[in-house]
Amino acid sequence: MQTREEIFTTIQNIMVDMFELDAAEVTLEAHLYDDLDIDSIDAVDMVVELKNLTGKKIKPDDFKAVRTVSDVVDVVEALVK
Amino acid sequence: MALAKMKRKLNWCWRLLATGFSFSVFGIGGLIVPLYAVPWLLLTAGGPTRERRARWLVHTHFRFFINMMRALGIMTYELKGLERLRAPGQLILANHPSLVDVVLLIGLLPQADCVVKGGLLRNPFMRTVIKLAGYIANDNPEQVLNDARASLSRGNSLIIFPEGTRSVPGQSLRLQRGAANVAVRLQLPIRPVVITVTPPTLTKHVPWYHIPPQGPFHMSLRVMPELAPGDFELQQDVPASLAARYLTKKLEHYFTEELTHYAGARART
Repeated sequence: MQTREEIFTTIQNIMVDMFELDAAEVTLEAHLYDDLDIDSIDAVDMVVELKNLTGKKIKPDDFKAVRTVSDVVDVVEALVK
Repeated sequence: MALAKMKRKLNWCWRLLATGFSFSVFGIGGLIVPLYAVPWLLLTAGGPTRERRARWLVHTHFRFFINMMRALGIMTYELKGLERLRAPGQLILANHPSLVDVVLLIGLLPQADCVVKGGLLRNPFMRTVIKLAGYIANDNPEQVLNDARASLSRGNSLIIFPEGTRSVPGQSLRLQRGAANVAVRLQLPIRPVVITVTPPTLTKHVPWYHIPPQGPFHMSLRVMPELAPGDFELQQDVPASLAARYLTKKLEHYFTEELTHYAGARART
């Protein structure tokens, strides 16, 4: 999981498994709250999942500004670099 | 015949007046009660005692209000299974067809915690009392979960209206996920309370003076048998995020069924 595409695919899979979404819905532009119905409890679950996956600590503050799937990819990309 | 018609018309006029009066009492009460309640609460106690007193105060006033509306002849109500609410520490989920159901439910429970619309905290009159009673604002789902955990662990019963706002008449019941999240993540059984108001009164988008033409509106509040987490046949080892989604759908189905069933039973009598 190094390139942006790989990171995106991984996140897409996580979201499909955790939130009962269609992979087609989880686009980079999709808005977590408005388009994908992901709330703050879900976001916490996702952070835990991403922590397990990357082995890196994610500060809740890093996730505060996250609005879209693309923002999530940015956070993870910055971590694994 | 003409007499019966006139009587009905008179009764309608009376109920319109009494409804207006009730609304004023509620509104003015919301202004006046805090004037004496807040200083009393702040001066006489702190911590959990103050919170208990604040809840008791809301309960007493709501109870008075319900009895007043019944005495004025604008509403009737029936309660079923009330003894089921007696045990402490329950997660109570109720549908929310009208403004009055909250008042009735809190009027029945002297010490319930309640998840309220975050918007109410921006109402200067409501804010102080809500804060003192320690009610939970529904703005942030994660915060609701944490506050709910804390409240239930203190042995409080917690009322959540899982629709998050009043039902929209004629539309199918839509639940938000917060209540299911609380049940799933705290592994709690659910105590459903099914409420109907016939004919629909004080619903969304209907002004207060649209009162029922025939007679007082009737509220039925049924406290249902507990739903244990196992009753929903939720698969084990699914992530909580999925379990909460499944449970939300199951609950939507449950409340819809109960409401349809009740409407059918009423139509037959």
